[in-house]
Amino acid sequence: MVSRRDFMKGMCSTAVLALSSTLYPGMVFANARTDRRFVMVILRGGMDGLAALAPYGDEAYQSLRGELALNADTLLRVDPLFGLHPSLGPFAELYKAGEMIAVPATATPYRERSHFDAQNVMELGGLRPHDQKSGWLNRLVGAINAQDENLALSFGQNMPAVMRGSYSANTWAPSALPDAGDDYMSLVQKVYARDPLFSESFSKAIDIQVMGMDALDGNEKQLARRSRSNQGFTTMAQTAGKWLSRADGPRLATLELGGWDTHVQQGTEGGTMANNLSLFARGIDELKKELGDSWSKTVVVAMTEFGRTARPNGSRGTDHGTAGTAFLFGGALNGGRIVHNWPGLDDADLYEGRDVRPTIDIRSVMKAVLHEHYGISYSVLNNDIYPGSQGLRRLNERFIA
Amino acid sequence: MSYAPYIAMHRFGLGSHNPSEMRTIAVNPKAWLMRQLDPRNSTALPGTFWDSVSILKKFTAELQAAETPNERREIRKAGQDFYLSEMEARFQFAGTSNTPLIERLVMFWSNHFTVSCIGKKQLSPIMGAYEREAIRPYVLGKFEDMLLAVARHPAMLNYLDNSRSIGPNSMAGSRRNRGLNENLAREIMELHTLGVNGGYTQDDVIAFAKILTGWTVKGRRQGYGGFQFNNSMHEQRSQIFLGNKYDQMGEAKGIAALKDLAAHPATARFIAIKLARHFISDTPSETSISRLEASFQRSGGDLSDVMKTLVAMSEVWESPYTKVKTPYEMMVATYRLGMGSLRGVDYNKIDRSLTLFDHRPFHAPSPAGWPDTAEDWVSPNATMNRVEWCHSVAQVVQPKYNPVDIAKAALGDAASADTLLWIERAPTAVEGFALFLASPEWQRR
Repeated sequence: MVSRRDFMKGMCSTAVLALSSTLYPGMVFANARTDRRFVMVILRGGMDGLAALAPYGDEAYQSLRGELALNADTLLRVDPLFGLHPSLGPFAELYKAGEMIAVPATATPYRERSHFDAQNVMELGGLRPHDQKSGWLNRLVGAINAQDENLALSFGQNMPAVMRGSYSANTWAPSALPDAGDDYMSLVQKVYARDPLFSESFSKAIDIQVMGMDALDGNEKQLARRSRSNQGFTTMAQTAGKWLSRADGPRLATLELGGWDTHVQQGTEGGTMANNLSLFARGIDELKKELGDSWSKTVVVAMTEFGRTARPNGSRGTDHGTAGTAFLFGGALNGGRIVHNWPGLDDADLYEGRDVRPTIDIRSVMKAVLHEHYGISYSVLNNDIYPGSQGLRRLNERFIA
Repeated sequence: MSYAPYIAMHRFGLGSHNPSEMRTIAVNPKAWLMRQLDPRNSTALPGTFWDSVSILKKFTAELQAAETPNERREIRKAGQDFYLSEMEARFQFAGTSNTPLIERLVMFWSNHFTVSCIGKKQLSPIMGAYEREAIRPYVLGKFEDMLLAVARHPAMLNYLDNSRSIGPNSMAGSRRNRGLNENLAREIMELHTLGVNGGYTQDDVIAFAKILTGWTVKGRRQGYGGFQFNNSMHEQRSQIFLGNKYDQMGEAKGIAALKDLAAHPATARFIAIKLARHFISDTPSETSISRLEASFQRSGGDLSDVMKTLVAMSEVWESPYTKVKTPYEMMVATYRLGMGSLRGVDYNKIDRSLTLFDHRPFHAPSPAGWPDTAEDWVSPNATMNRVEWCHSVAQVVQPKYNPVDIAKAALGDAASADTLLWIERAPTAVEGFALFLASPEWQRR
């Protein structure tokens, strides 16, 4: 009798079969796969950068933040100017190990305050909302190896805009539904043959299931339950780490963590913001653990669409702002630093009198990281990954060890 | 061969209901839709329900009185049950209604004016009431009336935090050191009326937020419950908003601003784009959008008129399968097939299925609601979920008829020869039926 795994392999694209080390043991690839990993964590909702990384050394900080100011004694003071929120203990450890960089006062080129347009600019990598047709991470697939159909994987129900485009990318989330029969699966493939959207999507789903059978020894139904709990992010991060660590696994991945749109009662050392930060930190910690030796080849970037108002709003929360804080993690980093050009928090320093002023364009950080991590040339970065960014000043920083 | 009945039944309706209805549709699909758009039709959800004021009074008072975490947990559980019973009534009516276009419009507008329990779990017991009170009465009425009802509904005021927004110079503001919250003001302009490119600035957001201060929900002293205008929270000063001066007193300022937003040309265009995308294709033509926009402006935002313009347009009828059903639509359409074993299904099971697809009503990920194009719903992962879900439903149904006949009856001329052939070749009736449900014809609209 044919096993389910073998049956599914029969339906697989050749690209996945070629990768499957169990099917072709010792096979040598003509085109060696990169061993460098890149993970983007999308923090949707607009993370309050001043809460995650407090500029406690700025004299204006305490009075400006008022009831949202963090007590300097509770902060993880990794730097004379900046301290991590007390819920970010794991980040402080990474910082000490030279595996973390924080970039405060950073923003995309977008200067309005809509979540949806801001996310569009962050993910498509354009200058204005909707001026690009694909996501910059998808274009990165093209720049690294357009032939590698298994390079990019989004962990989650849907494919985020950053990963959508003409180059191959897949999505995966644990399924809670019972497996359907093999006969049915091959008939579905036939019924979809004349519908390009469903057909391509279904065959990718088969590919990823086959890879998942190899990559995930765990109980998928249990994973599905855990991924839907409050702690879902840590489960997905763990799974991503497991999968990325494999020789035949993806190299570019996305994870998502929402809940940052803190208009009301966001709290200080404790509260909603603190809880979400702690989940974020545990997820990154799990990702590192599961990546094992591959951590040394990994860069993780966590970014949000915009920061929030520097001052609290009228409801002990913060409203949509401009510059926020990005985080980089990974064993591949030349880290243990805060990369910044801090604008200050005096009234005159604030952008439009209310937000942290952006002083570092997130694209210049990403371009440097991608150039150093993958050796992608600046002409490709300027033309394909971040079109229209050639005018940005290069940062005088080395990000990769 | 004509695709018009399929388009009427699936793109505008929610799938086939019963043979006599399908014959009516086949005779004149356009007329069947036009009849549903008669503004004299009832758009109410049949049944007896609590209103939001009573629900809020009950749950807020109980939560305030609760003394132990256990008591509070029980009350939250009861709130969750309340949500489920409301959603069951909503789903079943969508699954049996003779005016499915009205139900689709209810879903469309509820998504347009999204209120979500994500991050605000305490809202779950009033979600059903929100739709019944602020959306349903107006789906064949005036956009302006819906906007006003939404903006003063406790569900929206709490969801987008306006209930806590206080004018900086108001009595409450100077007393309590609390202040403005921009959330609702921004999202009304960006998501509900003008659209993000509708020509407003950050100053307009602040002015509108000030105008809306005092639009809040009754607190303990007022005995909890519904909307109240609290003058002591209201920023009394006149405001310049979108170039116009608003110097009315109190609540009248907000009503005037909302009416002006409803009548703004950018609103007509924004609504036209969203309706065209929902009912024509993911990429509707500029011609169609302009005609809807003109209809919206000419009729003063009469949503029955706008929908009639839409149904009368030729582009609508040109090609089938232009849209992909959302998971909720797929489940309603499947329910409408009228299979006995599905009709008796426990709503908890449907709720779990909807959770799996991240498509539980009133649990959209953000105030923008769920997106409305195929690529948002057809990731590899979502496709596999659909395929597996169809199979598990078929196992529950255990169809007694030949699935080829079921597919022909349900899809009419729209069932492709290929699809019918593969259903025919399926080894069992269960698999054949599952294949019909998974087919592009059934998954699209």
